[in-house]
Amino acid sequence: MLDVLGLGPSLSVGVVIGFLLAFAILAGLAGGVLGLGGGLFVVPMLVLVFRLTPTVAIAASLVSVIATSSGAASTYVGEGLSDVRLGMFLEIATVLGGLFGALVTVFLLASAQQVLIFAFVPAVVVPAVLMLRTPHVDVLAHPPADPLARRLRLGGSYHEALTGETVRYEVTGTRVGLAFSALAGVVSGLLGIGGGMFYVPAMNTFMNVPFRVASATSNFMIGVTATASAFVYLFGGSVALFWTAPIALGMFLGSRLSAGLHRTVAHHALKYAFAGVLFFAAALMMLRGLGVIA
Amino acid sequence: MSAAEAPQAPPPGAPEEAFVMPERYRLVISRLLLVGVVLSAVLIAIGLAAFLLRVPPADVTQGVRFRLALLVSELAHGDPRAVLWLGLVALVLTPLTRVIVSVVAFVRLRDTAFVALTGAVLVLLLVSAIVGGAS
Repeated sequence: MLDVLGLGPSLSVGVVIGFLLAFAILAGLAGGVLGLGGGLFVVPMLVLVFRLTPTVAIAASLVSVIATSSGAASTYVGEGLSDVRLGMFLEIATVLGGLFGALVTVFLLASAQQVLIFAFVPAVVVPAVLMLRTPHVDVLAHPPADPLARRLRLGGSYHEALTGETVRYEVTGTRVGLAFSALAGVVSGLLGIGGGMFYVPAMNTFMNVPFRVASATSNFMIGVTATASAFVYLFGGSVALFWTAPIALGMFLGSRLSAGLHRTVAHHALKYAFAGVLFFAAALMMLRGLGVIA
Repeated sequence: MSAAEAPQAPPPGAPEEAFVMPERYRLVISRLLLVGVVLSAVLIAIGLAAFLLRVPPADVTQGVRFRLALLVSELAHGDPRAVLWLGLVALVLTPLTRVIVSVVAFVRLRDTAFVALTGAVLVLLLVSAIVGGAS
């Protein structure tokens, strides 16, 4: 039974739901502006502040990630920025990964939640570092030929607003891309994060996809991947309604608000600030896993 | 090389040969995604408002196994929880619907490789639902 500030159970639930909504809106905003998932903020918050079972926290985050990703993807697909065919191609790998990761968490680690808490530490630190450091790779006009990409006729073009030019690209590196995507899918299903931090480098660095397209396509892929995992959590009994619903709503609202800002480059100061928050959360998770803090 | 020769083989280094999903299919997908998430958000908002207005003290911290029969019975009783569940169901069905629409689109575009690919993704999604409920 929840009791916050002596308000009694009914008002306490209201306060908690209000807090979850507010937090999720901020997480969605941050996610939209930084390109980092809201899940990286939400899961540690639920585990550390509200002492939720990691699996339940992960389930809540995963469902919410569907909201942000689909909302963003709607815009990008409409604008022609997302490479739908490339995304669907990679989704074979990501969905398999997501299914696997979710099964591990829901069934294999059901009585070993400590593992998840520890696993979260690198899962938070790596994206934070990548956010600060990943350079945008320029597209090669004539990349090494990839037979699978050729046969599936993967590639396309997009209109770069900054320079006014139309950039064409031919996809390559399908094997590396699939492998990376599968791995990212596993992490996503396992820990409830979107995985965009891994999909974007997979496409931009290894597959010769322009950064903007990679980013837009990543959003497109995250939703389906998260759905595969979410099905496992949903039917596997891990979705707690009152935690999941407000967070899903809040993240969606936050990400829509950020859509108004998404064209502006996130300032380095902002990125450092959020990276700092994530490092702090990772440290707390570590301490929690070790039993140093309750 | 004249234009009539070897029309099937793409010349090397030619992104022009890439096949991009045409705009009208993209627009359908785009709208579908938006409708899905907005519907979900509205349902959740309504459910939360209804729930907060008449809160029964309940244990809210546990995960619950989602079952359709439970949802139907909750709806029949006017339980705001049912509206919240509907919101989550709408959310989760959105990408699934998007994959189904993609299969149809690729059938129409005669893009057989992608009919197979998207079909496989669809099957995997359904497998996820079944496996999740299997324990």
